[in-house]
Amino acid sequence: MSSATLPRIGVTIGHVAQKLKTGGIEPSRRARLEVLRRIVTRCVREERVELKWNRAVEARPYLERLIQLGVERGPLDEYTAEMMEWWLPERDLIVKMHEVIVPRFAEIQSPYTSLYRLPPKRLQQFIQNKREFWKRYDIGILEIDKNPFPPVLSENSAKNEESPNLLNLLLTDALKNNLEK
Amino acid sequence: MLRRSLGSLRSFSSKCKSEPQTASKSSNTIRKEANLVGHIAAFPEIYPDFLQSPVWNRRNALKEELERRDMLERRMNIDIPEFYVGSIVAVTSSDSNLGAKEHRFVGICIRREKEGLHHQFTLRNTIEGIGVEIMYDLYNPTIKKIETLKLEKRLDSDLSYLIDALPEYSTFDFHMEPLAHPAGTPIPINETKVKLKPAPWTRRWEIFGCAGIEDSWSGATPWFKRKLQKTKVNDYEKYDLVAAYREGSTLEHEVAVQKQIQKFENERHAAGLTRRRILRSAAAAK
Amino acid sequence: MGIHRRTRLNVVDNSALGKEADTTGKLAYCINVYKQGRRAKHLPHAELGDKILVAIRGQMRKAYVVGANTHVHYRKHGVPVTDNNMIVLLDEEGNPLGNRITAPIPTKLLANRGNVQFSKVLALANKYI
Repeated sequence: MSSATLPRIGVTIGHVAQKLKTGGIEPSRRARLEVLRRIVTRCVREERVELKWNRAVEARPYLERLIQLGVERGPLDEYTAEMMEWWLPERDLIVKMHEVIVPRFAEIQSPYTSLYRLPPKRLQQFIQNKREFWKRYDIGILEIDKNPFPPVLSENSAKNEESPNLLNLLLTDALKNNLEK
Repeated sequence: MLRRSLGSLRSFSSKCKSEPQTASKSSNTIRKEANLVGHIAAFPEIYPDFLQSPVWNRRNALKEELERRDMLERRMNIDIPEFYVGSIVAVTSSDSNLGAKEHRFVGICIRREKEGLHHQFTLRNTIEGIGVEIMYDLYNPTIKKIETLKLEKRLDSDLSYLIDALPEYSTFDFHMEPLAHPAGTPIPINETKVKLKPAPWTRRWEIFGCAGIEDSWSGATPWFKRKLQKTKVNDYEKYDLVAAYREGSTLEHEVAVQKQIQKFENERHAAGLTRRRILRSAAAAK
Repeated sequence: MGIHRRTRLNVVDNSALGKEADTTGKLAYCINVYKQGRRAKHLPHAELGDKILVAIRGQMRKAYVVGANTHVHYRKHGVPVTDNNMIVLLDEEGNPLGNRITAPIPTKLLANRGNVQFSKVLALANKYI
């Protein structure tokens, strides 16, 4: 466990850091990091988290990097300890990270997390002059792999998704045959 | 509807982009690859010119490949030794203005910047009481010889503060004998803490937090001390893991570059023209 | 970026005027730069080897820049950069005021041997960086 360079983060990362809406506080780079820190902490504690899509997309590489630090460098590395201390302000989570989560991925490469999309939530905001104003929130699920919960996409869900349309059945069969060749 | 039915073919086909991004179950091959290649852990420090640009959008695979080929050719023609910021280096370059056509300068390396063919390093020395810095392009063809007279590191990776330090810290003998570094021993870290000249300085050293300066805060003027209350101090930036990832290097890239260097070396050695070795580490055992 | 109006410079030859300026602390002060190219209401900047007009102890003198503190972004390969800006004073006819130059001079200046005025300055130099 030397201080060698870390491998790639196997997750799509935007070339620009997104600005996140920061609740009551003045938006700034520090506020953005605080939002992400809270998401990461919640995800390490609960291992599967439902949140706004853009925040899930932003937080995923941070979570990946944190797990990767634990896997590649180990708990005794100075840099890893500093990052864990800041990103997981609750002490028991650092222990959980090193003893429960990191050993799952000892021989596995990044990505260690999954990101699923849920149907968007539409919430009514207010009514003005008999006209209703709604806001739409895209929702996503961020989960750490090999968690004890049942999988998000179960094996049965694939069968239920099969379309009864004749054209689709023929096309899927043709594709299957081509791939098998 | 077709998209949903494709879900049943998940086991056959590769990931469609409309599929959710799930965790990978495949084994970690990069560490094994790195061990096979004999990856040098200190690669980013020994060969900072072979890394990628710290600006994410300027990383261009074609440009890097073309530059790397030229860099390896140059390294086969001339011996570019290992040196760090804080090592004492002597550079002999050709100068048409002088009688002997050669110009030699000895100094401490204060910074190394830029990636690829543009990699630059600056040497600093004090000549007759006047501090002189010369910036050299590492791959400039007019450089005839680069020698490391003393291989060592300092507490910082950027010694720009030597401008505002007392002249004794930047003075090095032009006719210094090269000190050989025994192979296999780790690079010594020179832990000198430099004393600065009385303020005002060229930059606000009291904010930078350089480990190599002895007590910059008490040397700062009261005006700057009062200004600190309004200065935006960005200590939290070091916790931004993804920003560091965008600027930094990956193990995959380093291993690929190291493989390329080894292949190039083997080809040239097999052709029988030189026995010069490019890939070496003074700290690693022979 | 370079030497412009208001820049203070150290005199590096052994003329009496230069020594007085350096010892009293009222350094030579650049007023004009003799160089081509002007932006509206802007003087060009002087670099190594350029001629400038300098105010020193109440007089105006022409001088050659012999050492410049160039900013990091504008440095060129192999060109030495000194911590102070250094000049050599010239008299009314254009001959150097002193008869020796104390500081070492960059070898890049030797390329200006063709220039009659400058070659007189180079003849006084005995140490090259």
